[in-house]
Amino acid sequence: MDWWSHNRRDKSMKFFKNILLSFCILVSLSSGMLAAMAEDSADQARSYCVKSGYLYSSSPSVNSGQGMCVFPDKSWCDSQAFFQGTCSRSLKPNILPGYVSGYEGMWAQSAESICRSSGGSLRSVHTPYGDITMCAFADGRTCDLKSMAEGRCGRDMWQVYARSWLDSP
Amino acid sequence: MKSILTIIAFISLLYLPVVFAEDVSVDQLKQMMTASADNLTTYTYTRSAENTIIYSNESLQDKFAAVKATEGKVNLTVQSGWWSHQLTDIGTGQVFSWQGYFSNGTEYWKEGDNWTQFIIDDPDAVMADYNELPSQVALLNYSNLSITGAQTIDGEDCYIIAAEPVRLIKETILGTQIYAAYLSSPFPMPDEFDNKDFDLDNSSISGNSNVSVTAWVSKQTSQLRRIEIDSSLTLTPSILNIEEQDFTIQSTLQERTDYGNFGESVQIVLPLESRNYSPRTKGADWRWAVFGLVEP
Repeated sequence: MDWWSHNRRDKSMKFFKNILLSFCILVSLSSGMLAAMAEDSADQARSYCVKSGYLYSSSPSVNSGQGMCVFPDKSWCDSQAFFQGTCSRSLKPNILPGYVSGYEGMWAQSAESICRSSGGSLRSVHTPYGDITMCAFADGRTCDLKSMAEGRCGRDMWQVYARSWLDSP
Repeated sequence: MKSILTIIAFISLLYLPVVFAEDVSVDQLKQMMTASADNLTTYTYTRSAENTIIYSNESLQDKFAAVKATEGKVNLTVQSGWWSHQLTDIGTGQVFSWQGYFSNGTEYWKEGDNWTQFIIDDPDAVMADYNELPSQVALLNYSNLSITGAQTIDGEDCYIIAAEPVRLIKETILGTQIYAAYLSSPFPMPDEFDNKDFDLDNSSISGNSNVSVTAWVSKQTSQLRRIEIDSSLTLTPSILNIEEQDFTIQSTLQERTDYGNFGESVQIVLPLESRNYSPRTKGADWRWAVFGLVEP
């Protein structure tokens, strides 16, 4: 190997080392920035929830430990989702607490679509304890949304409703 | 002769409700009420609710009583609404107030003296929430109705209607009343209530309770003018079919709502003080829950 070739190889090695070093610095910087951005975003979501008049909360066992915005009827939404405008103050009194149904948003959405696709329509009905939403069919049958989501229309769900309604924040 | 006249008079009295009901059937009335509720423009309402719960066992006699007075205005033409609740704990004399305004797509609450502004991404749903009369009509629509008489309210002839809600609604009312009774109870809530299989049908609550609904509906416009809901229940270990030391809980809830000013000028003005809103940092007092939802 001549001097020119040796020198060229050294230069190439140095060049690659420099690129590798730059890449590592860039990665560490960007991961720091990403972490900082995520933190900023979490702070913004928290601030947005509180400024909107709701309670911010987090619990290791709920929402995978991610921040939640808790509404007055004890229903909640992921704080980031609320910040991004994909959920708002709940207007469905019969949304159940997490201990009953897991992630309540999923079944509520599913029950609404099942109700509509089954030819029913959602009806808000007054009671002295607040309005309830139920699925009503043309033949007069009625079904609560929770039972509908579970495919057990007609099952007695009074206890679950009652408990969720009175579960004050 | 006199006895014959008495018999005729008696028979006439028996048929009096039928005479009142002759000009309209309950199915027609349901349709007309729904149509009227769908074509509302403006209205106002007042509501009074009273809840009394008596707790007793061999060593104590305790009572909780609270009243809630509500006023509301709805203007569907300009999509605005207002409600005001005043809750009084009769035992302690404490008074709580809560108001809600919905105007220009924004909602404000005033709890005590504190204002909160809400960011709303579905104004139509919020407006539907403020427009509460259709949900009262729905309660009648999902009930077995019978026209029992007639009465004049504010100079307007009305049918008096007795309504028996469908099982789903009736059990929801009674079930919530059971839990509400335990909010101020000196007796602990039975462990059985945490069991999802605990069922009204397995207990004798239905035989020891009563839910009655009476409505007054305008003969001329088919608008709901007044609705009364009375619910009462008695709980004991044997009624609940649970093994506990003996106790008795008697709960009564009476609610009366009057609607009026249909189609008249209804102004809803957000007070200037609402500009001084601040974040809501605590939940509602538990006594709101005695009347159900903590969100009115």
